[in-house]
Amino acid sequence: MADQVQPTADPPDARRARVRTAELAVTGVLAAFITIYIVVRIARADDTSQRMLMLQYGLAAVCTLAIFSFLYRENPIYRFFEHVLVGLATGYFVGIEVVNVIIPNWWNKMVGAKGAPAEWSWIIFPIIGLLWYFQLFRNPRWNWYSRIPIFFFMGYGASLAYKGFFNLMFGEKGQVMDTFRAVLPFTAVGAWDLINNLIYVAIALLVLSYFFFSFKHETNPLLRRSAASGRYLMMIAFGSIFGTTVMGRMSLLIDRLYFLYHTWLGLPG
Amino acid sequence: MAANFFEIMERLDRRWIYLTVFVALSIPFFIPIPLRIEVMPECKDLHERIEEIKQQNEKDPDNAKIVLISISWSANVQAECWPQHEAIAEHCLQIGVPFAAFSFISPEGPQFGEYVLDSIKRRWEGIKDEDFNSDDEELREKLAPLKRRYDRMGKNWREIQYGVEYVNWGYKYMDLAALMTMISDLYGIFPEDYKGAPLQDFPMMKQVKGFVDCALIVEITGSGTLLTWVMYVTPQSGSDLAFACTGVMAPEAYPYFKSKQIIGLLSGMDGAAQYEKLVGIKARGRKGMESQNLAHLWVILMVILGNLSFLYKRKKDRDDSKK
Amino acid sequence: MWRRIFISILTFVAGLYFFFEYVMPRESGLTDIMPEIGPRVIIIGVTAIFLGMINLTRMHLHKVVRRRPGWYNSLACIIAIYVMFLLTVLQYFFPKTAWVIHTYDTFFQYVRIPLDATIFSLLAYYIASAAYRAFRIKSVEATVMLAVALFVMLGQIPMGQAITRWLPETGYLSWFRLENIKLWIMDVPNSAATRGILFGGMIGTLAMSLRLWLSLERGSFFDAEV
Repeated sequence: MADQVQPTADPPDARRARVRTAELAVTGVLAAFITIYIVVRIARADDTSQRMLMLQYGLAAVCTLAIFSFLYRENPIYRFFEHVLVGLATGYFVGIEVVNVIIPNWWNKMVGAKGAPAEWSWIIFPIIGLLWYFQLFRNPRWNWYSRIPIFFFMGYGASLAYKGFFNLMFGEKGQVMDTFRAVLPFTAVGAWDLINNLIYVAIALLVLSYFFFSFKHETNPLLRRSAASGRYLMMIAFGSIFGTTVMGRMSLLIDRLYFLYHTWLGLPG
Repeated sequence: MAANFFEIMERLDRRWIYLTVFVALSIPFFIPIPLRIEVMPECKDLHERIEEIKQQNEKDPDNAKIVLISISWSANVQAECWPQHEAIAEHCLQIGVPFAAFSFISPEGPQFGEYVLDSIKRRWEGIKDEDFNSDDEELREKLAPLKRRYDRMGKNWREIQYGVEYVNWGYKYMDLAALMTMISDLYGIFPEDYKGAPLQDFPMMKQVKGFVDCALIVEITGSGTLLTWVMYVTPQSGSDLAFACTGVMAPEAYPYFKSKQIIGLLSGMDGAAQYEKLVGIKARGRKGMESQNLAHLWVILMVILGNLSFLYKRKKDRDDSKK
Repeated sequence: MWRRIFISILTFVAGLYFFFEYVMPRESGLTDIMPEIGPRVIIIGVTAIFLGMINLTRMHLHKVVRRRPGWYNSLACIIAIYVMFLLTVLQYFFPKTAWVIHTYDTFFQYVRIPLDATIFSLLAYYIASAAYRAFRIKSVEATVMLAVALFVMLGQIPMGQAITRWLPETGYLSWFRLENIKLWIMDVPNSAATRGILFGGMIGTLAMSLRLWLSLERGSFFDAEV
């Protein structure tokens, strides 16, 4: 909100130049300080493996600080490292699929490595898989072929949904079973448990009524009220999610600070 | 005065807020805050289940079951999932329940599984054998959970025996068909471990045919993988499922905890810290909770300030419109 | 037109096995052939893996060749893709070659992991900023949400729990300890509301699956002339 209050027009040229110079100066000083620190740590290390480790820690710290620089504003250093990350992530992903999946699960089986009989019929599966690559063609005439594997996976995924749905909802410990089992008085342990179970079922049904679109909510007073209370009750779930999200997000930053302070700067942990 | 304060706050550049976050979270790294972690039932249940598996394995060693850790996390959520993984792995190693790790969604998973074990080994290097029988009662009490490993293995307690105590199955691109295959036939999907050694040859894998022989599957994740297990795997394999997830996802997992579709639940760093307390270690989870304290108080303060400022502005707008 | 019919039939047939595997009795033997199907389906899926790499390379190469603004970043991206790919493959085949393992480790553990983790850690700053600017009691719903969030936040940190630590650990009064209030919120109202949302969502998913399986789905992707 305050962002909207901030002046959106560019500051005058002179001021902008001053800010830019200050930014460059601060960046330069920080870079010099970090470089000196890394060099000193490497020089003071005991042996080659320690020196290597100090260099690696330094590299990791530079990466961390480079990304943090985005908080000040978008800048070329951040953008560079962002591209590097995209590259490394893609390269690693493809590499690991090759060595962990394609080689042991296909190649070794097909050529019969490690004493197993060769099964040359396995050649057919990557050939079917190659149809994915028609995605690279812009021409619909060719691009069309890539739909064969896409819809194959879609078809089997969609039909699997039934199995999953019934397991999830009506299985032995299924969600629906559990909800309504809970109201039976003999399943409760004590009065407090029974009250909780009743509250539970009531909330679940009220929230469900919010998703009940077979009747118009406006014309049906009962549904209107239950849907409205369902909306309030859903806020409890969203509030809990916000509460735990704060913890989750802060953890991510604490992890980086832990690295910077303990691992890199060597504060006692 | 108040007017000035709220107006300044409204106009405040968000970078100042960022700076205060950085400072607030940094303080506990310089001034440690003593904490008492309360262990909640979700966490205790998981701990008890692993202890139970140990007892079952001792009673029936020919039919020994393993714990399976599914590493569905990666660098982006390592802050929460690493300590969870470390605490659970430490527990299995302490009491001697064989455990395997694998990943079907995160290609980096198996590599992280190794890093976590390295971190456990590094921590163990700081503990001397004499410490287990030290005169210092506090120290002895602190090391009591780990002493179970020392008593069992003697001088070699620091060595993690690959293939006997722990195996890393590796990563596979996995769709549901493959995951369901693994319920009864693991080796069709994982012929080798992550380094390329035949998986079936490892001693702890001799009795394992698939998920059916995993007494407990612990899904550690930052993604929505819970339903995959609950919908397609555990009803058929009969394994228990425990869920260790990022804080964001924990509230959504409670219905499954209630229905016993999951038997234990670790929620983010808090869950990890609770488990660390149960297994008697102070690693990234409990250390991180010190900063969490200030971070939470700081966020609560921000919410209160934001709302005061909002109420002030609304009152001012109403007064202005009356005029 | 024939293509669309072909795709519809393919989608339907692809789903038949899993449908019957679920609805038919165990004696039908359909479940027993699952180990034959799973490993093969993996291969069809994994073949697509190079698609992303090719697309990314093509896009960035275009920028480099045309010297578009920021082309040097694109160059770094392309180099990173192939260096990391090579290192990942090499470390599998040469696990004992020191330089391979060191270089791989440096790129993976000390560049890729810190970058990835740090990008996500920026969210901590944003949620703090959002707590101040966006989380306001503008309506009854927002107030309910805020109150619950405050209880949950206080209940999950030791300092918050310390506020009510003077209450006994057992008995009725223990219910009012903050960690127990948080547990109750999570276990009862939150869990019930989430279950309500789940029921609504799953019924939608089931209907959507049926539409996809029977090729009844409409939309730009499904209606495009093929």
